[in-house]
Amino acid sequence: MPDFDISPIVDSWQFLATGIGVTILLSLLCMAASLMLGTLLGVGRVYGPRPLQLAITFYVDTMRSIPVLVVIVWIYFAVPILTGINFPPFWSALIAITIHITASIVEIVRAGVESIREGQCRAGLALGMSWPQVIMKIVLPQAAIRMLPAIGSVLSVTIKDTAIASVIAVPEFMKRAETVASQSYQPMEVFTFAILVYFLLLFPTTRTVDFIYRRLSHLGRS
Amino acid sequence: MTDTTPIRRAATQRPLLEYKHVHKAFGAFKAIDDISLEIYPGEVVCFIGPSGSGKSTLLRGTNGLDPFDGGEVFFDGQALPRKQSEVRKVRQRMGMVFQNFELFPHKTALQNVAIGPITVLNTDKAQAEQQAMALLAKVGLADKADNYPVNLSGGQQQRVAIARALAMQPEVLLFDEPTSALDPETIGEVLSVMKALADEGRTMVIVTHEMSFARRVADWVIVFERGKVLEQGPPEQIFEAPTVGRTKEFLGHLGWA
Repeated sequence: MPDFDISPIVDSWQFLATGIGVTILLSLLCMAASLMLGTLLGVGRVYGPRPLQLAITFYVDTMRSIPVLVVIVWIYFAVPILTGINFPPFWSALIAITIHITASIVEIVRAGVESIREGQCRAGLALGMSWPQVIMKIVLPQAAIRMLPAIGSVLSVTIKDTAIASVIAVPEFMKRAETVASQSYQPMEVFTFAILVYFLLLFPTTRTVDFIYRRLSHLGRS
Repeated sequence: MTDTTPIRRAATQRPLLEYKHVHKAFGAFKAIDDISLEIYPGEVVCFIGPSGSGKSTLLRGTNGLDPFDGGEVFFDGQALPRKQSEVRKVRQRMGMVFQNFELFPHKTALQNVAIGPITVLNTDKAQAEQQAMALLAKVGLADKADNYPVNLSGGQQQRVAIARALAMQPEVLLFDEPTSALDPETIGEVLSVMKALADEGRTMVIVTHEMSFARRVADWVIVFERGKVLEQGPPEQIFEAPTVGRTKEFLGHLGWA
């Protein structure tokens, strides 16, 4: 059993803590952007005109067959050459992960929306509501509750995917951990610590989503 | 007018609802086969007939939720518009009650009743909820205002659904088999709410299999068969002395001699 020396972690705690901050910030931004875009596209996928539906389906199917790592390096290295627009690493990661995660959210929203009984829309329309009102007030709130478990698992994937941003040197936690590990020659301690940190970030997230779902699930039944 | 034409008391006014040569097919099946009918203000009209006779399809076409293939519906003298934005305005004036209640599960009973005025009429929230509370009291459910539909019985849900329809202050109430999904013991509470509305003089169109209710409450009964009107008349005539053999047969199946 080798000695477990945590001094490199203690010595670099500020460096690592800012990394955790970047990881959390990147995760939150990716989540918010993916949820908004995914809901919009998911609704478009179900209710939009046929060409829009096809375009969204094409996007979802494409993204689901490309690893997020490839999307990240493509946005960071290929897009500047193709368009002349240079995104800094953080923005490249944010865009790439959002594009990737949004595709999963679209499918979840589609399934959630389609699971709402047609009679619910008819009841709204019979009151004189417009389709946008029916979608916003009746379909989406119920679908959102039903979607919670699936959304929760995609959100945990989002947090984990941010670690891949280390390949383009985004100063998030994984990148910082690699730096500390290579400088201190103590990868065992540093990467074990990394495992612990990710677990502590993710476990409460999934538990919280699960808890909220159990409290609300009865409101999504119709 | 010949001797056999039954007297329709309300028929002196302009019809509130008028169907002119409407038809609708599902594939080769003619659900509605060229029906023309009038509903007059203040009337309670019951649509009866065997399953698949077209009575529900006719009711659902009335507010354009399931538009007819051809023909025209007139409401208050105006043809039902085909454009979504315009047909909405007409739907606001028609209340609809569904077989499966279709309460919104994420809203309390009170919110279910208030959502129409708040969303569609831009009624102030406090005012809409006050009005909703009064309507819940009217259907005997003031104490259930904060319950979610999942915690209400079928009969209670249907009474909330009636209150939800009333909240829009509709000029006509359309009931699509309102008691068909209910346990026998809760049918009575829904029917008595409907009876009270009929006694207020509201215009109601009711698709129903509750023959004794139709006999008791209807001003006019229309018997459907195979997408056509088989016979229509006041309940005394339809239930006691039907002039058409098939009406007799249909009622006979249901235990009416």
